[in-house]
Amino acid sequence: MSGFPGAKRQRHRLGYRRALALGVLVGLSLLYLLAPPAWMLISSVSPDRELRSRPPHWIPRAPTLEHYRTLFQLPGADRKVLDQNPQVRAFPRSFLNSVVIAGGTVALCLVFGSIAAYSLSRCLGRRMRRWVLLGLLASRMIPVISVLIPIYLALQTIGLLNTLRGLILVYTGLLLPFVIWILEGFYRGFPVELEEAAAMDGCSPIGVFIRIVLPLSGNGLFAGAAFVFISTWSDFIVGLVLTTSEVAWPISVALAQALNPITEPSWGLLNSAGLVAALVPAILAFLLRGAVMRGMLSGALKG
Amino acid sequence: MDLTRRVRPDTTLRILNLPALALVLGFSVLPILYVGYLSLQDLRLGSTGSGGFAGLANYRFTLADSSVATAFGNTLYFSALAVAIATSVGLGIALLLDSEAPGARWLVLAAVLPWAIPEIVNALMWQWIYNPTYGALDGLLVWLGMFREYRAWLSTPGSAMHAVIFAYAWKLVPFVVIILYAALRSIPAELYESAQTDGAGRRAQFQYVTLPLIGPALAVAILFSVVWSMRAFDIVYLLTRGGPGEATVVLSYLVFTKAFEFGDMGAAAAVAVALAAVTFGVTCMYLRILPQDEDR
Repeated sequence: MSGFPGAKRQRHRLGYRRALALGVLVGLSLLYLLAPPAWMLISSVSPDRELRSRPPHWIPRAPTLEHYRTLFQLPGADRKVLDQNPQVRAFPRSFLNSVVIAGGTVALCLVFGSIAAYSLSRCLGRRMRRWVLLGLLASRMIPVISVLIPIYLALQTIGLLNTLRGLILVYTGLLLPFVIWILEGFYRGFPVELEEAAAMDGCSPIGVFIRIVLPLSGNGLFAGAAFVFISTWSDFIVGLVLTTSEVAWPISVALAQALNPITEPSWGLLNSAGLVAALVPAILAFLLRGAVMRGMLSGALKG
Repeated sequence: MDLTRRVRPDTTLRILNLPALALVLGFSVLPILYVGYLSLQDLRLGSTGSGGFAGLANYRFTLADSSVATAFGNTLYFSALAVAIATSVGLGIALLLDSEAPGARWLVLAAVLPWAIPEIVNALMWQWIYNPTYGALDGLLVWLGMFREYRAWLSTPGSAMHAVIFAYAWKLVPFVVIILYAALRSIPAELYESAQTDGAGRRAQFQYVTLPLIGPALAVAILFSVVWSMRAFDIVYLLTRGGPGEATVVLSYLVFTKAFEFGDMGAAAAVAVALAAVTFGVTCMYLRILPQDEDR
């Protein structure tokens, strides 16, 4: 993440006052970006009684992990808080649901997406390919809510509403265009000479793909997988519309349900739940920041 | 290099492509056609398939519906303001990253954070910050002596929309930063040097070198932000449910309530088609400004 070494960094020599001014601006930017999540973190380890104070305890006097224990119903869980926030009981299950949904979607997207992207990059003429790619991109610019009504009706008809299978199928269909878009760009940069040599030795196109191309496309598949996992994990509206009970709730829907009680919820508990839900994509984004940024730059990221 | 016709597709490859084709057609192409078909049906009774052909009645009815006009206006206001905030803050942070400001290395990491937080968690986070009884925003303002008492930001007509916009813009910033930062870094240093030789000050350098060169990236960042903010749903659903009154009802939220709370699939489909059409228009603008090279 370091800048390019070289002449540009010498562009202007920083005067003392300018450095100070820039430093202050950097500080303000950091405050703007970090203060909200920091407050979520602080709230998640503060006892509820401290959160119910005016002005708030900016720094917790008695930091505690009780909210996390309660959230996952571990030993030491606060039964009373759990009874007052019954929707939170669905949280551990919905966490697992999201793991299954995101994992399944990643698998399907990579299998079908890589084959389609490879065929697209190798078997279509330039003009045709351009149109297909534009079509794929345009189809994903359409707001999801616009296509969700037909998808809801279709799932209702085939009996897949409120099932993990149904959600995996829908997410795969919705994310495939982007996966194909990302991977197609990757395969285009792949050296053809290798494939030609294999084809010369009598390998079929699919054989070339499986034996030569696939083993060497780790980077592209990784970027695609990260993108699909984060998108699926972070989605809310598809899960909200296509599920009706905690059997199939993804984590985002469980969170929204937990924020719904008539009485004031336990904010420590909710903040810990939100933090857990954000942790998975945040860690992935941090580990794969290079791939994620490349994806973002190719204009593909974000559902 | 063009790879056209280097590989002849055989039957296996063709068959293996069918699932992807079916999924893309089934979930991206057909639903758009079907939602258009639905928008011409009278489906108000809730049971699907029992309705009859309604022609353009849904559209006529919908266009005359004052809540649709309100939602349309709200969506435009929401998108315009959210994109304006995200773009100016994002440009500022990208410029800071590109200067040798102290601490810029940390800023890169922090600038990606809002992007990695799921939208629903973002909404939860701001819901807690705006909380009228124990919220951090009220707490801070009172603590600093700027306000005497706590306010209910999300249930006051004047402030609800702005609170929602501010929360959404926060999450939009990283995308703008990354796109613009990449564009800034690709400007060759020689251009700045020759501008300096010609006696250009910092402001002139920004105006005549930086701005024209990051122009295309800026346009891409703005258009993507517009497309996304026009479909914003999660933040409205969790923060205000469209309230108070209809103050924060945006189009995507209206489609959701019409279809899945009131069961009027036909009218919802008509609004959905309108929303998709507007987004499609913006996308066409985007495709026109994309660099016209042979690649994409």
